[in-house]
Amino acid sequence: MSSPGANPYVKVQDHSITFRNQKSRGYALRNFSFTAAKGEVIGIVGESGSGKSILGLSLLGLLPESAIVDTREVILGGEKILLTSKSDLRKVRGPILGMIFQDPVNSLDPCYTIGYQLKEVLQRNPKVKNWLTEARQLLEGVGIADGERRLGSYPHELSGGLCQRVQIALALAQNPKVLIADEPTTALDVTIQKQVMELLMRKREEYDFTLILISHDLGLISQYCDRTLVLYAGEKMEEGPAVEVLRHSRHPYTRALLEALPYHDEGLLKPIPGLVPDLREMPKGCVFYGRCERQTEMCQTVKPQLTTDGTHGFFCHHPHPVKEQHGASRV
Amino acid sequence: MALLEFKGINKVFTNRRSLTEIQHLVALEKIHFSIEQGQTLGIVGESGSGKSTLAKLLMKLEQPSQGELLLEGRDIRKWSVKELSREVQMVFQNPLSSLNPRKTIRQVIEEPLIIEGQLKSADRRKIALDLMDRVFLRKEWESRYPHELSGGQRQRVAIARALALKPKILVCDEPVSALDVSVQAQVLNLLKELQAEYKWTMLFISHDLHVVRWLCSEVLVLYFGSIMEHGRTSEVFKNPQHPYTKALLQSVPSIHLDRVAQSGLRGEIPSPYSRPAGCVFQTRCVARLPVCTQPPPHLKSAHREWFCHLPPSNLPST
Repeated sequence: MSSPGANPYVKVQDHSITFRNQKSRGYALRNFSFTAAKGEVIGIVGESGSGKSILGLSLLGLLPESAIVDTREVILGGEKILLTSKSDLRKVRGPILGMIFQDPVNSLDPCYTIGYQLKEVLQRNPKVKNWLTEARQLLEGVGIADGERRLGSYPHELSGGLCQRVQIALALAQNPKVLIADEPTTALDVTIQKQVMELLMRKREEYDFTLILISHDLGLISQYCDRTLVLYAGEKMEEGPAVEVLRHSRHPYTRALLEALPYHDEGLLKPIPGLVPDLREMPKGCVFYGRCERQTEMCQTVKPQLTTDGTHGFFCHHPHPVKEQHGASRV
Repeated sequence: MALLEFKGINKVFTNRRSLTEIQHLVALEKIHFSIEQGQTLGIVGESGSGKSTLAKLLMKLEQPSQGELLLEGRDIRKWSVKELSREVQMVFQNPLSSLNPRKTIRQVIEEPLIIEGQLKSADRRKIALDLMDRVFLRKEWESRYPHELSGGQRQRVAIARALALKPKILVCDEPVSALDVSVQAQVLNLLKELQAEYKWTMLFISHDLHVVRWLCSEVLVLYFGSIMEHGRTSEVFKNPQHPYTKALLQSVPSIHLDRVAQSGLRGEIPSPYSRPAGCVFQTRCVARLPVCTQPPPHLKSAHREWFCHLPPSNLPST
């Protein structure tokens, strides 16, 4: 781990993850790069199998043995991290990188009380003198009113929304520089989703961490993220300011995703034809080849390079024209 | 006559804690509404609002504790399960766990016909293949097993199975929430097209308000076992009257709207064993009045009804 200097706050460069067994080998993520500033909210959006969750797990070193991570550079909170070094990973988990998982009830330990789980984390933090007062404050901070009583509760005694608040409190206990939230509200109702997202936003302002929000919900991404990256089959398709990417998308995949949503009242929806390609037999050229309505022969063989137009970056030979508003807007 | 009538239905589950202590859980209270032939009714609400209990009553998997459920004017208690399954069929949320893994998809689709026992095997096969064709599954796939299909294909098998007996009512319990956006669109299109073709009546349970708005002609908003608002989808979504409906609509993130930080709701659904007296929504309502501890009045306007003490707002005078 090197000391913070002129490094960017968060940077992942040429990050690839492969899964291998005796017979075959498949990319789950290929040459993926992104950067983020301090306090920024980055949305990573994609369908299942796009590699978005794998990314989060790989940064914490939580992937299974069969996964091979190949990366040029990872910088988290201004510090260079070696993902292959166990001691680096141990330092990263908690104080540098916190994570909130999708299923709030099952990602807490069912055998221990909320208080014990908070104590475990807080006692590792040398700055904390009295874990009990700190734990009470944390629970209060995430909007759990009767924190005193909840410290003695087990996870199964709490609702999904409350468990997610406890997870947030656990992540905040180490004051992380970067927080990854992997589908933090997918298991929750819309009204509770709203409360949890607003809580995350308030905490981001208070603690000033960089938030990486992984989600399949385009609406959620557009409302809460500064910038967004669209992933498909392990590759980045488009990136830019969230509202720009989603309201004026250039890449046909982003556009197709948006058009498949039931955002209008009349007529039929437009599904994306075909299926996500098999990770073991990826197309040579653009990974969206075969499902794209703008494809030409070139797309089959030539991999598109990053193109930027001021606001967006996208990987496509035949992008949609600039600034064309699409999708029936509904107020 | 309405095809389906819920008349003052209550459903209470009793839970014996110990020899002397019995807890009562009110899952549904005073549910009163009817559906006409050919309507599509979206049922929305948070978890614990009683959406699935409502579907179970209709499938006769649960009995109402009080009140009557009339199908074609006849009490559902008087229908045999076999009679009922000709009229009402269901599509479940998780297509993999609701299809028998040891049967090929043709066998899955044929099974309701086998139970009916009226057709020869060659005829059954023909019907099954026609149905597969209708839901855009290739006929060559008839001997595949559910695990060999993708999520969207499995859900189409479940729809074909529900269609086999040509039911009048189709109950869909979150049929697309386990699917990806691109696949979800295929299944939703299929449901809409088939509904237009067969004119069946549909109860569509969902937490996705965008989907309900797109698919359903009517919407029923449930909270904690009670009806909050009910009416024509376009009216309810454009101009919600009940504070709960408003809060629900505000909570849905959309790419075309800017973020509203205020949520219009406080706290969470209270414990099901401690039901508030009067309006059940009072504990979370931001517009609560002292009078809310009394049962809310039943208000009506054209094409809709709702239960709230607050005066109606922005309604065209009728």
